[in-house]
Amino acid sequence: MSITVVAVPFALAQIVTTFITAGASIAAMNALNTNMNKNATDETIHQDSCDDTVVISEANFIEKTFDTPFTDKSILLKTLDEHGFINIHEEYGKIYAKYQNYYLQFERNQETEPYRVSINCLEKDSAEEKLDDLNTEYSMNVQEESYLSIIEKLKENNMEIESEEVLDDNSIVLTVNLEN
Amino acid sequence: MTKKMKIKLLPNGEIQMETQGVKGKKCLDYIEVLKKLVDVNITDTKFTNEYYETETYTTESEQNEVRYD
Repeated sequence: MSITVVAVPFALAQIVTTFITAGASIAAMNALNTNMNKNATDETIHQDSCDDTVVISEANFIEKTFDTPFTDKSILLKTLDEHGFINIHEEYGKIYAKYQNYYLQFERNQETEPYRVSINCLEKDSAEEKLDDLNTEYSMNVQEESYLSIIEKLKENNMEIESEEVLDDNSIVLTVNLEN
Repeated sequence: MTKKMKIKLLPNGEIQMETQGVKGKKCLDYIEVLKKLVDVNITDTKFTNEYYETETYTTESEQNEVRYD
């Protein structure tokens, strides 16, 4: 081999800082609940209620904010949908989504920047775990998009794919013949 | 050695590319090829021994036998 190159797709940013703010934010919760068409009340949890009618105390929710590597909006929306998030919608450049007791709000200052996410969830639930899940699924979607892009461009340029292999760690290896 | 380009797409989204059989600085051209195949930022580049080798070309005259009668 003569050269090895490591590259990161534009759809994935490298996280520089991660910060967390914890603590119930009633104003933020009310804003999110309004967006999710669900009003927050002071009532306690009714254990026998179905998910649609469970009322949860504001005090049980905490808000955490994280930097994310998510730069591509379409891949992010696809990831949220595939994960099972509902009420996914955009408003004033922000993306809102709900999954069980997780309320997510993505925002960024510019389209070239990665999103920051605010996660409101119950104290007992792990915002970090949910974000890790999303990170994993988003990265796999980036892998898929990169694969499709490469295959298409190779065909357009009449470059021969000598072999294609999927490894045990789910990496995809394409060998391209350069002789022609 | 046949000239090849191996592109590895990892599940974390990262892409690794290596050329094989391409000697000298010509391998640098394939960084641009990769950029045209997919939108990426290059984060690391390593040169192997082949980078420092020169390409050898065999011409037809060298292949002809020389006979003295």
